[in-house]
Amino acid sequence: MNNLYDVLRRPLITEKTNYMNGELRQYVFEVAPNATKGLVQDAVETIFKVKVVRVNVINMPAKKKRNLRSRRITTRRSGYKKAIITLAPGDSIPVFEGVR
Amino acid sequence: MKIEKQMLEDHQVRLTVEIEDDRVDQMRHRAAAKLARRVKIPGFRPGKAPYPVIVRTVGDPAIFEEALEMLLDEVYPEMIKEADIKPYGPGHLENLPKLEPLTLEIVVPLDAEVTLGDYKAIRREYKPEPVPESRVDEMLDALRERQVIVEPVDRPAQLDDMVTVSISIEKVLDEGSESLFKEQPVPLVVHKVDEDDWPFAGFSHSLIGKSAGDEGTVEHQYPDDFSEEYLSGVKAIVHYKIENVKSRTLPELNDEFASSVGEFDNLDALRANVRSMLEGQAKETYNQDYDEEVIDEAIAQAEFKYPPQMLDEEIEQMKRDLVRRLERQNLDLEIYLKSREMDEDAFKEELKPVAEQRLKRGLLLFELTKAEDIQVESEELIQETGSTLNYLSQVLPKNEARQLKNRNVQSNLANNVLLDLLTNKTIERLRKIANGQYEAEAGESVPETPEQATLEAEQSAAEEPVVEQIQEEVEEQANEVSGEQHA
Repeated sequence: MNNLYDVLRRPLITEKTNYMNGELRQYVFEVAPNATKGLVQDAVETIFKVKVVRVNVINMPAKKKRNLRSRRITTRRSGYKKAIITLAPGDSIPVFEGVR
Repeated sequence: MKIEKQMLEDHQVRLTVEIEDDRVDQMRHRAAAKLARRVKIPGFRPGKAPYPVIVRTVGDPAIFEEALEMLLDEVYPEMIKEADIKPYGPGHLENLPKLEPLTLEIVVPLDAEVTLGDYKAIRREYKPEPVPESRVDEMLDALRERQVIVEPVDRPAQLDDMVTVSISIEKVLDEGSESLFKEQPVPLVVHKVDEDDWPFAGFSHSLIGKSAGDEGTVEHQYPDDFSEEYLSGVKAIVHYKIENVKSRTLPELNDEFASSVGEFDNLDALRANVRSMLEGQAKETYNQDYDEEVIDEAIAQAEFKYPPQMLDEEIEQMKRDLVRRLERQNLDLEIYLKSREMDEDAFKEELKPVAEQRLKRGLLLFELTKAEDIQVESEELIQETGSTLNYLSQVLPKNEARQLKNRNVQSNLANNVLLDLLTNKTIERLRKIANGQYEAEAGESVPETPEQATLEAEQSAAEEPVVEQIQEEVEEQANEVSGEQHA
């Protein structure tokens, strides 16, 4: 990991995170495996110019899934690290750029 | 919503409609919600994704298209109302000149407008031809012919006898001959000389005086335009041999004969019946021709304005009729067109003048029904529908007859019957106007009944109580009919 811009990999957009965005001012990102809470806070604050109140980090475990084509073969889906970032009141991150 | 109206030449109107941004936006959201129910968006249950997510997955153009469609559905009736026009059919979106604000250009075909001429002034001589006595005699002769008694006799043939003759016909060639008709017995009735006959006029007459066992040969030159093609223009030798001679005795024209034909007391009653039947027929054909003339004149007087779609529909209708007729002969349109060496467009072009005439006729009668305020009483309609239903249930095959119990089929039928009744009444009225009878009657009071199935009943048939009532009655009848069938 070279710099702050490598910490955040992608926002996770699901029904749940959508709810968290609006109601709880919480944003969920997949982050680099070796990122720490402090690094994530720095990255979000510098990139989105917002104030981070709290960062929770979870290591999502890898999962075994059956192959789509042949149900016998199992494949492994790699795990990732997830960060839930709570912003200060009044701040928000534009998750969908260019869309009203 | 801003609307601009622009009349087009072919009885259509172009509406330019501007729609507020708010409304479009709202529609976009609704369209997105509708689309989201069909599209699978990862992370969201169907229909739960927020607008931005949907836009990102399905794309803006798709949403816009859907929104436009929904918008049209919603705005169209409002537009028609606001622009104050009577459309004939669905309009179509012609153009989208501007997006901000959204502007639509819609072309709407207008309902036909008929300006009736002075149809009340149409006068035509109404003179059904009387049935001549000779026609009655002919009919009676035909009836007698049905009860003819044929007996073998042992004497030479006479006029009106039935003679069975073995006939063979050979064509005379330069060398030898060719058989055209193999020898076989043919029953012939001995006619007078000048009557049409087979194998040629006057043949059977020449048999008079000959008896069973007699043979003979005749040479005959057929004319080029002889009705049977294989004989026309042929020089033929006809060889015949009389097998037997039978006398034909026609029943005498008296009271006894009359009672044997049907329930007639005497000959005069039969004669009167035949005469009235012939008169009825003659009057019907005369009326038809007369009506046609009067309607044509009324059409010529009236002015018609209708959109091209209406004519197209009429042409389609005629095409469908033709296809149905062809199907009965196990043909289809393709073969038919091929046999006439034309393609579909040429065929449609050919139908056009006829379709135009039919369309005008329909429009005129419809307008006349309105103008003359012609109405059908519900009792009459119920009765007529019932009898049609009865007739149909006897004529149609069983599985189709079963469909008659269906409510929709019945109300459809009732509608058709109503239309027929109205049309017939209108034609009748027009006839009376044209022959002056109506004016004579107008002095008398016009009967009015409280329950009347008017034109409106036919236009919005589903809701009208009259039709409901008819359905019930008709259903009862249908049940009766099917009960009879089971029995």
